[in-house]
Amino acid sequence: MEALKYAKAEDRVEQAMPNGSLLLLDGLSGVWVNTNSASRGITKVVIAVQAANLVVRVFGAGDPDPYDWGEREAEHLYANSISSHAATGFTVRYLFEYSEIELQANWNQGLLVLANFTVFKDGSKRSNYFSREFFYR
Amino acid sequence: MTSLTYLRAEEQAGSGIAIQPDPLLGTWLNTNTDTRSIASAVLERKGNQTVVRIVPAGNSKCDWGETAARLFTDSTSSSEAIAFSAVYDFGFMETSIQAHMRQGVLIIARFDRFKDNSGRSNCFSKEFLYREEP
Repeated sequence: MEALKYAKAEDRVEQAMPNGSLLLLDGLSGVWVNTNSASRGITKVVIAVQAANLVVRVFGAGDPDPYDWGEREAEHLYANSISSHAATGFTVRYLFEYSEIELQANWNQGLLVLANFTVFKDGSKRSNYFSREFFYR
Repeated sequence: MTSLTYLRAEEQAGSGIAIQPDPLLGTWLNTNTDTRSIASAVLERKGNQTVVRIVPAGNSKCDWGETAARLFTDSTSSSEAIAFSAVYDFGFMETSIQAHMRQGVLIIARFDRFKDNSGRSNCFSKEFLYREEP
């Protein structure tokens, strides 16, 4: 039996691209600010290109100072299609003592759309939750 | 010194009860009948677990089957599921599904990561699904 090599029709490529795993990263770098200035979630995301990856630094709303979540390397990078070489999305994971946060980002019409999946690990009976915010450069 | 237990002020409250999957359960159909990606998603409760079954467009040989869905609410104090995540590992490719409900539409973000050195770029796509009426 032949092994499965695609899960949707458009995943079929007639010709493999050389070194297709390398994506151009410049389109995502910069300082991204929340379109909602009253956000109580993430206020700012700083994205830099380092070596062949993105380094992400997230700032959360805080009083008096924002929470600096620190820098993390992107876990995975994504393009808009299997034949594109421009990165338009990424995932990054933050592990804290009490929670684990997966952020998934995608660029759409000039905006960075950031989805946040938070899982609590501390037995505090807080529900795991999802949120989504929009950022401009 | 106390250890950090939240990153946002609204993260302090808890619901105290397990997340209820009911708002997500059922059959969801793609709003785009010409899609070449996900045709439908079926969410069911099985024992203590919520499972999702993704049915792709076209070729039934590519049925993704069932996998566990992790549920999310819209706040730490809510117990109503409005989002889920799931992972499919096909060997040559791993697909992460991250979905949330908004105004009656299930928005599925799909992250495909190729593991077979085929030269295909990892890619992101989004699909919109509506609930099939019983």
